[in-house]
Amino acid sequence: MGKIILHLDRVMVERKMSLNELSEKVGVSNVNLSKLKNNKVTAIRFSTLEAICAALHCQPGDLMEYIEE
Amino acid sequence: MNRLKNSKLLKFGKIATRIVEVFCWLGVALTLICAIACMVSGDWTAEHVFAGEPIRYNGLTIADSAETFGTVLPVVVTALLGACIALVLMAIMFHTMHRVLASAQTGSPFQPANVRRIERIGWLAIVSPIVGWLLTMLCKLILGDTMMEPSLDLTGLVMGLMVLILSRFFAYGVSLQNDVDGMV
Repeated sequence: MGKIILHLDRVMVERKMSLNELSEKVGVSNVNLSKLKNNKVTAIRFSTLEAICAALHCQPGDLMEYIEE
Repeated sequence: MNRLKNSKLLKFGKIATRIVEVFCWLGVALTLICAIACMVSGDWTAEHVFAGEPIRYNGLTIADSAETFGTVLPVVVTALLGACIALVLMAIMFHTMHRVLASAQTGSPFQPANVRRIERIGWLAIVSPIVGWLLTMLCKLILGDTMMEPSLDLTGLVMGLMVLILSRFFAYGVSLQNDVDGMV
């Protein structure tokens, strides 16, 4: 059984977007986005994923990776 | 969650459980004072506190007049201490219920602490009638009354069991709450 790793921080750097800016565009608080960035969440809504992909102009696959343990 | 926090039923429940808890503790104080008064001066207590009325405990007639009071003093004290214990258990139960309701107003009701509280309420509901029955049997033994058969409140036992099962439902709710809290 592996785990999903989020690469939100990498995509944000590539798109040159700050946490505050992304938070405003996506409609999720800084605190929750920070948890997402640091892999501290256990689940993500499709609506949140859609909003992040729209804001960062990326695909869901760019944001997450499955790693086998 | 705001609908729960602002619920009038929740607010009423908090007030009601607090009032009952206060009355239970008052009852504890009064029964203790009565028990001490009986031990210090049984005759005075029979005349001024019980006013010569028959004394009954869980359906068992302990003393039917002031004249017989002196002969059954140990039983009266036992019955008073039994009532005191029952009131303490009830006070703790209502205090715990109040804590559960209060937690629902400040956060989610599905917290590990509430699972433990509801379990405690369940066990108290099961233990209370058993303790009452045991003390009544003790009073009966001391009185030597072979006629009266004290009954055990099965409703209380079943209610306690239901509350224990409810605590398991709350435990499941806690795991669901953790999932929701971890979701963005």
